[in-house]
Amino acid sequence: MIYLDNGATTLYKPDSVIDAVVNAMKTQGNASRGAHGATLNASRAVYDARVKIAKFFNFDKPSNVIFTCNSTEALNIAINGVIKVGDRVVSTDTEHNSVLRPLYHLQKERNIDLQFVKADTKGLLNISDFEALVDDKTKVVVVNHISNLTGNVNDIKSISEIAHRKNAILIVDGSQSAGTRKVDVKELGIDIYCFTGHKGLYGPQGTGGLLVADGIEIEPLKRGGSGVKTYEEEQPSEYPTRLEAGTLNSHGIAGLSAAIDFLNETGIDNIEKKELELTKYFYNEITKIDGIKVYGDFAWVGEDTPLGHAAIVSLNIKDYDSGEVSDALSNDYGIATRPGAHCAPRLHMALGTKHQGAIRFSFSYFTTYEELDTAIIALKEIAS
Amino acid sequence: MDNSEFHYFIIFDTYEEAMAMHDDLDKSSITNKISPAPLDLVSGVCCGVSLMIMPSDKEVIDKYLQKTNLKYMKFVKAERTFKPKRDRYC
Repeated sequence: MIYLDNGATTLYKPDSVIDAVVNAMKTQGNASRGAHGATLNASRAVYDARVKIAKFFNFDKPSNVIFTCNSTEALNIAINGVIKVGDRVVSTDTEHNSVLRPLYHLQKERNIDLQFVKADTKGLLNISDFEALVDDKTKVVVVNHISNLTGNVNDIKSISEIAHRKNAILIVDGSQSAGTRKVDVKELGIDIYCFTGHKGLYGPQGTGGLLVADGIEIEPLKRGGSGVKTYEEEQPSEYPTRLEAGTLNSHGIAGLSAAIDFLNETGIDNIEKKELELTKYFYNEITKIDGIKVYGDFAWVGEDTPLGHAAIVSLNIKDYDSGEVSDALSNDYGIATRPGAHCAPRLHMALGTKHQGAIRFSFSYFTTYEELDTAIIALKEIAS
Repeated sequence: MDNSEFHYFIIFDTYEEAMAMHDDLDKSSITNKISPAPLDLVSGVCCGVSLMIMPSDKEVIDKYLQKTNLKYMKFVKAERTFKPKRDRYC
């Protein structure tokens, strides 16, 4: 199989990640539950992972690295935990349902004033629209770092400056950016960065988390056992315990920790560079094929690209249903892609692809040019 | 550790604070052991582990705690409620 669905999850993981999970399953007790050797193995793995992840994102407080099952859980914790009744919230058309659905829910449950920055037909956001929508009443801005549909990169630093001028909290969905590029949360001015472990970080599924800047108070989404302050009736107020009720996935976290080691050893700049080159090559070749329409902003190809672009190319062939094309790629060529709506309803509407969907090709550090050539030939044959 | 009738314990709000200080003490070659917290002394309102310190190191720890920026809840003395293996061969 040629696996080009890395935007959904990276299939090929470093052996060190798999080994770390297996070793953890053989040696770890329950983290933060007592002081015998097995529990300390788990507590040590979790603690070391917090420290590594904090450093990886240039974040000062390892204790404010909160582990979750994925970025959807992280975003739900952040969104539900900071937004209060009647708050004004600004988000964008480019968001995934992991942002949209919690916000729509709060629109009904907490009567929030929900505003969206519109995306243009290339899926781009205009910074001046943030200036117009983020006002003195705005409490929270929620935006993705990178679109999971177009691969367009949002200008988080500028959005942060706008949000902070109005004293709003900036929550960033880093599902597609964590591990695929250098993310410096201090430099970018992010208050809450939500990430998943199983995509660009090359960790196991069931891992993820959020980084919570100092001074940001998040109400817990879950309450329960933590191994801490048993006789208190309230969930402990200190991070990370405040947001981590229940047994952690320390086996997965051990794998995620090994994945961070892999990324550090490989070099995040090398990963970004290789993925960008793969993307450029694929884009340049497929745009020579009649009948193919690519979505997103590719004006950067051949030019300097200050924000860069993710290793994602979404396209359609003529008026063919995206599901049929993806199925043909899978059945006839052994190529795995993602068709349909990609949990990004507002962006598909902005792109005009609500009914056709799109076929998303997404690459990883392990993708080869030979694999791309096979995909290019397949697209030529289907389009002919 | 030794066979004293009591030990000292550094108590924490979270496991992360305990692990951070454990690593820092190890770096400074100050003997310490991650141990279950002496629940009775803190009414169960702490994290489940503490750092056990030998009585002979009390002054060293006092000085360390005055200087460190790491967070902890309190430094307490706890008498042993029994001696492990005391009567093994009786």
